[in-house]
Amino acid sequence: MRKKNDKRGVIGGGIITIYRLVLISLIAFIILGLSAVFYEYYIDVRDAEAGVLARGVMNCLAPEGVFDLDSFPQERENRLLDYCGVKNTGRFYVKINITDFLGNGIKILEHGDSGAMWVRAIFEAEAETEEIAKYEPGYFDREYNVIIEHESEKLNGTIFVEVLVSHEF
Amino acid sequence: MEMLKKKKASLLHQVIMHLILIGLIFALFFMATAGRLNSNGVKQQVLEKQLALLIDSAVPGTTFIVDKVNVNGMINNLEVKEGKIFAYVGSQTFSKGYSYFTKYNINIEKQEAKFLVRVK
Repeated sequence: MRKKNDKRGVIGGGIITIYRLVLISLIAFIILGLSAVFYEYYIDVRDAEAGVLARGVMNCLAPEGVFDLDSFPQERENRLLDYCGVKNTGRFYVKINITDFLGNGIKILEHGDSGAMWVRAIFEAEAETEEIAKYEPGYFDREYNVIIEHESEKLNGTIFVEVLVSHEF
Repeated sequence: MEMLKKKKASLLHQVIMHLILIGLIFALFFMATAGRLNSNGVKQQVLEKQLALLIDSAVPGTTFIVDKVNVNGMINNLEVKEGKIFAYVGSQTFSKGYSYFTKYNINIEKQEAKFLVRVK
């Protein structure tokens, strides 16, 4: 009887030990897991990517500052980056606004989801976005003076490029 | 008296066992987080994003030389797959990579002390 009681005691002690080990593991996991968060750092290069892409698109559309409007295929007006041979375009939204020297619109070329501009507008409106700052899209815009060739005529114009780069998550 | 001694010995034995087990568990968790403590993740990010930007800006015929022993740590591997560049620093075996958008072909040549990233 006493041996039986001793065995039960040993088994009971073992169960308590397992319980303690699980509890200690959980505490260690929580402490070290939380501390690891402080060592994470997100490096944002999307503004730079947007600038590089804008330059690439301008070199594609208007090499040497001349844009041939007639040679641009109509079916590519909403797939601009495909025309320029850019790969992995899922994160990008590009908008090109071509105007003459009086500011009259000639053509708009786009690629991507224009809804990304709404996301940028939220951050621009200075909403309380600190916790989601890493989701703020990268952005670049610039106006370029170009010569536009259209129906054998050359006229002065401008190309306004806007590039938006979404997060990679 | 003898029973008391046996009880104390048994208790000491238990406490020592518990301390050893606790030490082992914490050692395991420290080893698991050591990768983050030595900031290899940040170095990996820096390397991947710098290279992605360089690749995006480069013209055909450009070659970038990346030394294995680097300010960003010891680079044990560099590769490109499916439009992304992957860098492995120190003992890392996993990388999310970073995508590049250049229309040119990229390949990486491994040499003894460096990697050559060629844009063709």
